Amino acid sequence: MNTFDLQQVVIGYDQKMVLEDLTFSIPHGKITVLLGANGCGKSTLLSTLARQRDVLGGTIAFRDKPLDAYRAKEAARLMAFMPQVNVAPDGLTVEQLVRFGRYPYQTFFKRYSEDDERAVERALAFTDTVSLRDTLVSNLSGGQKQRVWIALALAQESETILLDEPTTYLDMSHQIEILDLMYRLNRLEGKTIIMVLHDLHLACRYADHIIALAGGNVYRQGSPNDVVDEDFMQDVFGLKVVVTEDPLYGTPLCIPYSHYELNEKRPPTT
Amino acid sequence: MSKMIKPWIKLIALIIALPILSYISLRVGVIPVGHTDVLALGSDASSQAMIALNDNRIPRTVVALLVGSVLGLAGLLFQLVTRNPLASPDILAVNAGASLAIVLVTLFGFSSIASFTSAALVGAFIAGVIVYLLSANGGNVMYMTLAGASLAALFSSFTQSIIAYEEGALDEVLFWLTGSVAGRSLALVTTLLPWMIVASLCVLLISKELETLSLGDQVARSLGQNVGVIKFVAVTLAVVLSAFGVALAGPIAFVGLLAPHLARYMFGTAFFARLAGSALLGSVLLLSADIFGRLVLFPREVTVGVVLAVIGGAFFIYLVSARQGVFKS
Repeated sequence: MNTFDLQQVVIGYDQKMVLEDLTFSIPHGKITVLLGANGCGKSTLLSTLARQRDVLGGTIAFRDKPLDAYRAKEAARLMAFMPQVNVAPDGLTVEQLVRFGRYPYQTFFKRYSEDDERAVERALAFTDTVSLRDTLVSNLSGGQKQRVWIALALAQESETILLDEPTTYLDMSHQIEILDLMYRLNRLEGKTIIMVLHDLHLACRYADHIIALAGGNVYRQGSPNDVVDEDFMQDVFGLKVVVTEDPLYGTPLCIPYSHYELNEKRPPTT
Repeated sequence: MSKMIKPWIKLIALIIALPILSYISLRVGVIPVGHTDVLALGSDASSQAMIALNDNRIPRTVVALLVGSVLGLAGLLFQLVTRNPLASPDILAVNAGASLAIVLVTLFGFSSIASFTSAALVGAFIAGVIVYLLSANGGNVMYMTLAGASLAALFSSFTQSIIAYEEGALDEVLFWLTGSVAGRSLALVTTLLPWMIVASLCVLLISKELETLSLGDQVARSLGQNVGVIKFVAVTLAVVLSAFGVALAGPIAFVGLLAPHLARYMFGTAFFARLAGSALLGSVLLLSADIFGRLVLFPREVTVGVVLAVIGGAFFIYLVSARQGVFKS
């Protein structure tokens, strides 16, 4: 089974098409990364999959059923989406925020239950945020904040998690921390992870499956080793690179050329 | 300190404040009303004090309590849905729209409670829709506030010019337009009361939904909320509540802005308490301002609209200048 199957899908906003005639699948139980240059529509595609915007044409199936056939809370129990920028209301603590993850399980008559409590504790434990539970979200560092928002998505206990650039604005150690977390979620909990990343190197290291977008459609898809080569980098990013092998993990590693001669003499400093 | 006290204790304190303020409101005014007069309420004594109570003090107290709470609630709803801390029924032109509509129907000779109320509803809705359309490009806080403020100014100038030309026909409306809780008929109160209660209860019923919405549209949608539906319901309730407020007391400014901010300060993220607190604080504010207006230039009365414009205007300037982040988003 695939998590998503797209058939001739048209995606865009305000009647402006961004991606056209998309036909591809996103595999179940894998880490899939959407790649592409700025403005290629990868975030728009991700948010469309997350039911944040309407499809302009074609059909999207989620777990073999049309995406728009799900009721809102039903979909939220099956997939969680973490936007790129999140702002918690002032005065909200970590635990209060993560508890919102149980919203799809609550109805007017069934409020906070023991199951909800357990899911929140698990989410806090998995993201290593138990000790932060009473801290205000607004007082957290960038990396902590990101872990807390992931905990919110985990509390949803959905099988699929979509994330829009979860490592933006983080320094390298926190980028690794977040991506390790995604890896553990996938390998230990069997979650399907679909994310937009723009660090190509880390995308190649963590992705099982890459879908690269260019020119309004899927340019290439497959495992990182099948997808990333010199031609790919030239066509998708307009960048001349040498592709070598990551000495640690054997995944593709791109070393870009600069556009200028860097060995020119610098002007004398005064 | 405000964190030490449990939210429900603060709510109870506010609830207790209402009868105390009401008692003061019954006593204070040009015609002396004593403690024994208040206790004798309901008896058919025809003393001067009893007439003052029945014809003036009781209606204005009830109107202040009701109008304060609906405006406080409407202000909070507007602020939540638009994510604009400066949003309120007066700043988003909803009050001005309702007022203009009421003046128009009065001009054409309709004076029944039903026409009065439906005019307020229609006017409030039209103003809300126009502000929404004007600020639809991205929902920018700055655009919305400016669009609302300029539309409010436009509506009030229409209202003013109609009054200037038709002074004679609109005598009644003139006083109403200054925003006052005095001189209102109890008939209008009893007609609107059940609807106000229904609308307010509806707000409390969608408390969890509104709280989830405060995480942002995208997260709320990801959590399985029909964001569009909730926003539509919330704005509709806010417009209806504002229209009721205007129909009863005229365009009263700043309660809808002040009460939610005070409630936020008092209750923080205790969301249900914040909703209920906005309504209660609205009542407390409006009734206190009315009592203050009766005392400040005694024996002359300053209408509550004027009192609030002075307090609220200062608060508005404080909000804009102290919270510099307000216009940045």
